[in-house]
Amino acid sequence: MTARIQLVAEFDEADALARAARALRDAPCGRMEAYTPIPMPEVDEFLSPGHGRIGLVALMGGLAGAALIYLLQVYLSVYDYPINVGGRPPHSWPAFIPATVALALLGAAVAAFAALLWTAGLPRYHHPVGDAPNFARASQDRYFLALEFEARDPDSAVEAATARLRDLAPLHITRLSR
Amino acid sequence: MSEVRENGGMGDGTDTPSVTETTSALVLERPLHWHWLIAFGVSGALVLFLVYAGGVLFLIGVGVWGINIPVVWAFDIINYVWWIGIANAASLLAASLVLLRRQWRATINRLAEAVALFAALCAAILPILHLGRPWLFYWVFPYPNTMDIWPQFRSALTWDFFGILAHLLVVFLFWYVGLLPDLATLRDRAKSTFARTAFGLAALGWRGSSRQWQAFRATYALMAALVVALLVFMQSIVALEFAVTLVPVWHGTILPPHFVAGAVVSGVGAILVVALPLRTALGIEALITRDHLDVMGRILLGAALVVVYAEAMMILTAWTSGDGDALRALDNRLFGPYGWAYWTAAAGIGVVTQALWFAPVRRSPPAIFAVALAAAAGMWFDRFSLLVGPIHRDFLVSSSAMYQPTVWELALLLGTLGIFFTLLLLFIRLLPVVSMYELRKLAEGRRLS
Repeated sequence: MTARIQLVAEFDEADALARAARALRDAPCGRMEAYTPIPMPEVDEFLSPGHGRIGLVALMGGLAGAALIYLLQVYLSVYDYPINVGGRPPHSWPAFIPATVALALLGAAVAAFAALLWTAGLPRYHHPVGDAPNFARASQDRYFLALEFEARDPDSAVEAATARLRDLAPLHITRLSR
Repeated sequence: MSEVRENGGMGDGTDTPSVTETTSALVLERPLHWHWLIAFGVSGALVLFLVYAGGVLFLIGVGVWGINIPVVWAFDIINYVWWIGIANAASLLAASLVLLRRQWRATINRLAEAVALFAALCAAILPILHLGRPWLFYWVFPYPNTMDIWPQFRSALTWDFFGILAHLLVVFLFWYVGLLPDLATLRDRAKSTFARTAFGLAALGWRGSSRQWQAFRATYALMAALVVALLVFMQSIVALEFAVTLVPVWHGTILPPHFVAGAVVSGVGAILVVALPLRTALGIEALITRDHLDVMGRILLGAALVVVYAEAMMILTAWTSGDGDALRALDNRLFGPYGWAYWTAAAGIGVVTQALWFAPVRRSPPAIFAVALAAAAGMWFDRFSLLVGPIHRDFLVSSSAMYQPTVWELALLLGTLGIFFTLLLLFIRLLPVVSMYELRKLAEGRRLS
C-alpha cells in the first residue's frame, strides 16, 4: 500500500476556500478535495465533476420495482390462481396499476439512497483527513481543503504546494502522512 | 414573496456560528424542562391507553367497537384517513419546498417531514387494528404460503397496503437523507461519548466533502420529486378505497382530488399547530418567523378553497344526477342525524379559514394557531361525516342504524394523538428541528438549491 501524504488547509470563510481551490487547480497533486459545512456548487464543478448517475440508478430501480410487482400480479392473478368473477378478464391491468406505481416509486427511492451511499463512500466511520486538527469544525464553521500526494511524488511538489497554500493565508496547514 | 427577505426571513443576529450553536444546543445542552416532562407524561399515558385498548381489541374482538352493519367503517377509518392525510400533505409541502428552492423552507422543512413521518406511523397502525384478526395482517403481502392463496390485487385495500408500505419507507428515507449533514454536526459538537457515538453511527461518517455534497443535493432533490409523485398518488389510492365502492356519496371521481386538497388542509393545519407552540417553547422565533406563518397561512387558505370547491362539485353532481340513491344520501349527509358533523366541518374548513385572507391574522401566532386548529379539526369532522353519513342509511330501508363510538374507539383517536406527540417530543429533544446546514448556507448569503 503506497503511503500517501495529505496537505490539509483550514479556512474560516467559504469564499477563501473557493479562491484557494480555484488557485490550486493546476497543482501537481493526485486529488484535491474540499470539506465544508455547506454545499458549495461553485467548487464542486471542478473538484468532483459529473456525478449524474444517481438519476439513472434511481430510474433503473424504479423500473425494476415496477416490473417486479406488475409481473408478480400478472402471474398470481392470471396463471397461478385466476378467479372468474362474472367473466371478467383475469389480466385486469388497470387494477394492477396502483401497486405498480407505488413500488416503482419505492424502488426508485431505495435505489437513489443506495446510489447516494455508494457515491458518497458511506458508511465510512474513519477517514485519514479526520486526523487533521480542528477537523470537527468542518461540519460547523470551518472550510478545509485537502491535497493528496502519492509518496513517490517528489518532495519539491509537496513543498511548492505548501508554499502556494501559505500565500492564500489559511488558518492552518497540516501535513498528514499514512 | 416580497415580504420574505432574501436571507430566508430570519431575524438579525443569525450568523453562521450562532445558528449552529442555537440549534445544536437544543439537542445537546438543553436540560430537561418540566414542560417537556409533563407533555411527555400526558402523551405517554395516551399511548399506554391505546396499548390497553389494543389488547382488549385483540382479546375480545372488533365487537368492543361501536361499528356494526350498516356502519362498518367509522372511527378506525376516520382516524386512518385523517392521519394519512396529514402525513401526505406534510411531506408534500416539504418536498414541494425543496423542489421550488424556496429560501424560507429551511426552518419549516425538517419539522414538516417529521410531522409527516410520525403521522404516517399513526396512520399505519389503524388498518392493522381494524382487521378481524389483526395478527394475520401479513396475509396482505404476496408471500408463498401453504394455503395456496394470494391477496386480491384488484382490491383498493390491497393497493392501500402497497401504498402505505411505499409511503413509510420513502418518507423515512427522504427525512433521513436530509438529516445526514446535521447528524454530522451534532456528532462533532457532542460532548458525551454516548451522544458522539450515537450521532456518529447515524451520520454514517459524513464528512462534507465536495463529492458527498454533490451526491447529496442530487439525491435530495430527486427524492423530493419522488415524494411529490408518491404522495399525490398515495392520497388518491386512499380516496379510491371509497370511490370504487357503490356507496352513493363515495362513488364519484371527484373523491381523489377532494382527498388530496383535504389532506393539504389538515396537513398544513397540523404543521402550524405543531410549529407555533414549538417556536415559543424552544425560543426559535427568529428562525420560524411571521413571514413563514404568512406563507403557510396562504397555502392553507388556498387548499381550503379547493376543498370547498370539491364539496360544491360533489353536491352539484349528486343534485343534478337524477339518481334517487345519490339524492337521498346527499340529503341525509347534510340534513340527517349526522348533519351536525358536516356543518361543523364546513365551519372549520370553509368559514374560519376565510380569516386567512387578512395579513394581520396570518402574521399573528395566536390567530393563525386558532385557524389552523379549526381547519385540522374541521377536516376530522369532514372525515366523520363522509364515513358515517352515507353508510348509516343503506340502500335497504331496513339497513339503517345509528352509530356511536365506544371508549375503545376513542382510544384510537386519543392514543394515536399520544403516539404522535410522544414521537414529536422525542424528536425535538434528540434531533435538530431546523435544518442547520440550510440555515448556515442562507446566513452565508448564498442561495439554497
